[in-house]
Amino acid sequence: MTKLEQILQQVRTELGADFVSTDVVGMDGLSIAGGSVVADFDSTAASARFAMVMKLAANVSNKIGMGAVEDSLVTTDQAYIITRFLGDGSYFWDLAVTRNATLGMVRMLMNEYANQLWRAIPR
Amino acid sequence: MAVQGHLSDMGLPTLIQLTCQEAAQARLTLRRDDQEAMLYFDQGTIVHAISADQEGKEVVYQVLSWEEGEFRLEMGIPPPARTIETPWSALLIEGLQRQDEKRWETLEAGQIKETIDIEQIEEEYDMAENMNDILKELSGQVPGFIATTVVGMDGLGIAEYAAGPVDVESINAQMTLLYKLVDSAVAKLKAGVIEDYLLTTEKAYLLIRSLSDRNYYLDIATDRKSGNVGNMRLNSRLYAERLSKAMPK
Repeated sequence: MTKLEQILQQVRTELGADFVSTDVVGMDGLSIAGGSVVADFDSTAASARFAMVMKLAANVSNKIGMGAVEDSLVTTDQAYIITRFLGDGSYFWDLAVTRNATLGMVRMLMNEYANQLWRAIPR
Repeated sequence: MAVQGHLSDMGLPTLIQLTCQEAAQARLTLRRDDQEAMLYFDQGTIVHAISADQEGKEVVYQVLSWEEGEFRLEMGIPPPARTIETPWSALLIEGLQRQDEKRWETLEAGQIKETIDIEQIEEEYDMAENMNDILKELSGQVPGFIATTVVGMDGLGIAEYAAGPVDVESINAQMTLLYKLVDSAVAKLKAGVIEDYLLTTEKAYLLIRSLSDRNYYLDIATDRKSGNVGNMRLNSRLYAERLSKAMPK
């Protein structure tokens, strides 16, 4: 198991039954590590689509003068989907959890692990 | 690399905006029944358009009325000619205005009478005033408040309130574009129906929540240092309900 996978496994353990899916994704839309508890979850499609969202979010924020994007949170009737840039912004981390999860705790957890993930990306 | 899809999934105005944002050379091929048109992009704008019988701006205006059909977007293809100098945003506005005019021309006299109902217009005006009042009240409930708007999915605001000089029009247009992309990503992934969307940037929190008919949304921007995400989400929920009721029908 790679260092990245080990860290994602720790996050998964901390979230317990609320965990749905997670990926560390390059800005080319390709996932370099991740996993999901949902058997038919299309991680490739999710990574590609959220790469487009994060690119556009960065453009939009820049155009309206709000500075660099840190993260993006989508709340649906089924899940929270949080996406945040890692390190210099060449990768992002997405995490989906159920609506039973405590959102504040999930955001805190992502703050805690984001730097570790960035350092663990092979260069 | 090519991206393909149906215009019913992603409207042409959104597709044009997204391609222009990329600021790269690209060719967008559109097909509806036996008609075909091609738009060429370079440096963030449309520089050339061609169909079977014409080229230039008229082709863009013509395809903007297509709600059905297929598209294929290919990146890295240089334009074979340059027949358009008008900025893409002006092309979109002109094209959409022409569609409106066409709609009016096709209305029968009776329908026009039904459409222009002065009392209804006055009532809608009062409601819009009421929406501005609600937004002003909201501003007092949100720490670090910067601005709040009610925006249609066409990117145009119908009510707004800002604490200072803010380019609300630009925020409306850009955030609508982003929200549409998020909505389309969530729908394709079958991840449910969006309740709200929060973007955290270096300087601000930007929160979007759809109003009940989902054709309009409430956007709240707060300062990153003094804003409070929990407070924003709570107030967006409460005020979205009130705004939905005050929405002109």
